Amino acid sequence: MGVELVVATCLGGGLGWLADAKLGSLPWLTFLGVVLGIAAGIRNTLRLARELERAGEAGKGGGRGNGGGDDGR
Amino acid sequence: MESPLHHFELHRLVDLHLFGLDLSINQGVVTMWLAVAAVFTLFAVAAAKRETVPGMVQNVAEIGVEFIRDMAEDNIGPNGHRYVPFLIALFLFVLFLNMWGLLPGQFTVTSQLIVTATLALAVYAISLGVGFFKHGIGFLRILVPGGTPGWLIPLMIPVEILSQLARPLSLSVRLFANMTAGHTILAVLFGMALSLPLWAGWLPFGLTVLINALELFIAFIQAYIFVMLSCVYFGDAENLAH
Repeated sequence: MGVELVVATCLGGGLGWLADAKLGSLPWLTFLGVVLGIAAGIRNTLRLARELERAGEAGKGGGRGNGGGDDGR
Repeated sequence: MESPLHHFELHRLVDLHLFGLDLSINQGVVTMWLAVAAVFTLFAVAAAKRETVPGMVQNVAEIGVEFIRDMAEDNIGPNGHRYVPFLIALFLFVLFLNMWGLLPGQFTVTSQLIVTATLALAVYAISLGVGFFKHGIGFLRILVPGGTPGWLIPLMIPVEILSQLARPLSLSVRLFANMTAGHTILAVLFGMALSLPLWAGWLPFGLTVLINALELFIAFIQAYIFVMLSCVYFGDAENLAH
């Protein structure tokens, strides 16, 4: 589940950085992108948690992602 | 000592260049053929007799189909059964590849990001296709979750666009990272077991046994999560209620 957070944050930051590179407005769009990415990541994580909970006990399988950062690489 | 990442390397078995594309056959491609053949054979054998009291193979196939069908109906809704053939093929394909990678000396195809990304993009493309086909341009309402106060909408739309874009990415990275991490741990522990003297080597070797059991579980769970999330995405496209 941690993957959701990492991926969304990196995606937001990455897109912001690309836009910055194109427009030459460096830190600002990257910053905005990271903030929006974090928001999107939290949203996806919450949504996933809700779905897994609904799926019943099998939901504990979301598992691995929570432990160590190994899946976030 | 061999690098613990050595077993993720692809080796060309047959050089093949067609239409300016590098279509060389490597061990990953062969393993995927094997997976397709195994899944196909399972169902060909299971469906050959169609007994009322199922034999062993038919029983396994039926358990698999029912498992996926229940998941699809729970998450997608009344139209869930339409997705079952795709979902079960996806589930068994990923499960076989995950499990196959645990056999000593075999290649883990799902540790290749390009493979998991292709699967995830296929899933996401289908969910977008279904969404736009069913709801037309109104499918864009998925970007504004129900119950959003009006003043939040300009903020919510970019957040939702990002969260949508992150879906296929996280779907592919999750499977890829879990497989890569697990197999790297196993390789490191095996390397330690082999390079240490006997009085110390038994400890990492014992750990490989335990981690192998854990990896078997993860191989199943990750296949399950992959298909489960596919169901959730299809469900969002079908129902548009969120």
